[in-house]
Amino acid sequence: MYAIVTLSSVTSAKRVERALIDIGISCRTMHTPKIISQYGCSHSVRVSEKDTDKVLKLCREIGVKVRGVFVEKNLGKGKTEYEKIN
Amino acid sequence: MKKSTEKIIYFDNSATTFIKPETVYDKIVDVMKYAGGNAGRGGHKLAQKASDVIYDAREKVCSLLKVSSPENICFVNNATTGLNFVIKGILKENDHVIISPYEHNSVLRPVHKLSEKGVSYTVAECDGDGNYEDIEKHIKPDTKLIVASHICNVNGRVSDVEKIGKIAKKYGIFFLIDGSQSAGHIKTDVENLDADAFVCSGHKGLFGPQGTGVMYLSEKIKADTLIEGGSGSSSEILAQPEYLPDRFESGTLNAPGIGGLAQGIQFVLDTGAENIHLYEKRLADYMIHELKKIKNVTLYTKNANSGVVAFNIGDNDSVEMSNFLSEKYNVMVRGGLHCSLLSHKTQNTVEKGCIRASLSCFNTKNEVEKFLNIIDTMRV
Repeated sequence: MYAIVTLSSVTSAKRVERALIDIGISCRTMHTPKIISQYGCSHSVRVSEKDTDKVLKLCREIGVKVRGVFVEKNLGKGKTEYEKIN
Repeated sequence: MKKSTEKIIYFDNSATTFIKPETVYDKIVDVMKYAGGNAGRGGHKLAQKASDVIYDAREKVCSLLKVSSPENICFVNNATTGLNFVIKGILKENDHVIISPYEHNSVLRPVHKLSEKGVSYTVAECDGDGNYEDIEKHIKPDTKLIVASHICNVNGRVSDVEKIGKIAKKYGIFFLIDGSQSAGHIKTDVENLDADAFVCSGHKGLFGPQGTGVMYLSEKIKADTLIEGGSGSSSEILAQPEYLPDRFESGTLNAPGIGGLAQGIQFVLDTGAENIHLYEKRLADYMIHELKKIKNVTLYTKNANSGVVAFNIGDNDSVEMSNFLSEKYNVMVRGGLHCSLLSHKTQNTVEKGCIRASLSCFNTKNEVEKFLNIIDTMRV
């Protein structure tokens, strides 16, 4: 399963993405789904759920503010649900 | 556009660098053709590619300016915009600002405009040797900002920004460096220079295309905005974002231009700013040394500290001389006041301006020799 770590700007998202890749964590940046995007628009990093703690630790270390963490649940037929875990 | 077959000598790199590394041209086209989405807007693959182009460029700027966080780098469309953002974003009514006597109009004009709204300013005075950096005597309780051009765009004088930075830090005053003439030419380690803000053109020493510029803001600066708009983030909030770089990057960024700028910066990083500086200084040194031998030439650049050399030929109008050099000899220099009234006041050339030859690392000794021969024939 995947976790979506929501951030603010695309710059922060790219920064986290590059830093995660540097430490061997697979990820990609994405435009945050509207339903979980605080304040309307934001950018996120999508990682494997098991890597969530590592991502949060890295964000703290590099000073990037995390808005929220959501687990992505694929309900089939193109529908996705998001559960806030942080 | 038809390619010109005329051979030119381009000595106007302080206005804009004309010869760029090939990678710069290639990247601009590459971005337009293959990464042409709108960076930070939407999440589709082309938008992500454009975002990657912009982020790569931010990282390269960080390497060049020795800045630790890419978020503190904002792209602007030229240095004038960045300088206006900082100056007008920080200064409020009853604040005081100190500026150097070598400032471009992109600093003097916004400061002057603010003086109509209750901001006061002091132009630091020079001693007999043209030094002004002992600025403590100008500091007042309401001094909020000090602005200094790193290299004067008229005569190439290099300001001791390290000294000014220490003074600003001692008094808790914000320090803005205009690095338009220094970025790419000399080392610019902004955090070590105690600069709270650093602005530069992308299209001069960094070899990017026109329409690009860089503004570094430290975390200490909380500047007001002049432009508000879409930032690709926090769209439900009416106020402009507080966080950088979005706060100062409303609207679509010039991704092709910034991509090209990134390649220009890479060229500077690969070549080494110190090496570029040494090369330009050597060429300028040779030019100055030979110009001194030509009768009727008055030099305003006494020593080569950069690639900029300012001079006049007799009592001739500097603009007429520059036009003549272009029309008859295909030599590109700039005459007049170089949008820098203060610099000309400081060197006493307001009336006729001066001729400025500004070199880049793509100029050659052969070109300088040809130029000197031409000046020698014009001296009469």
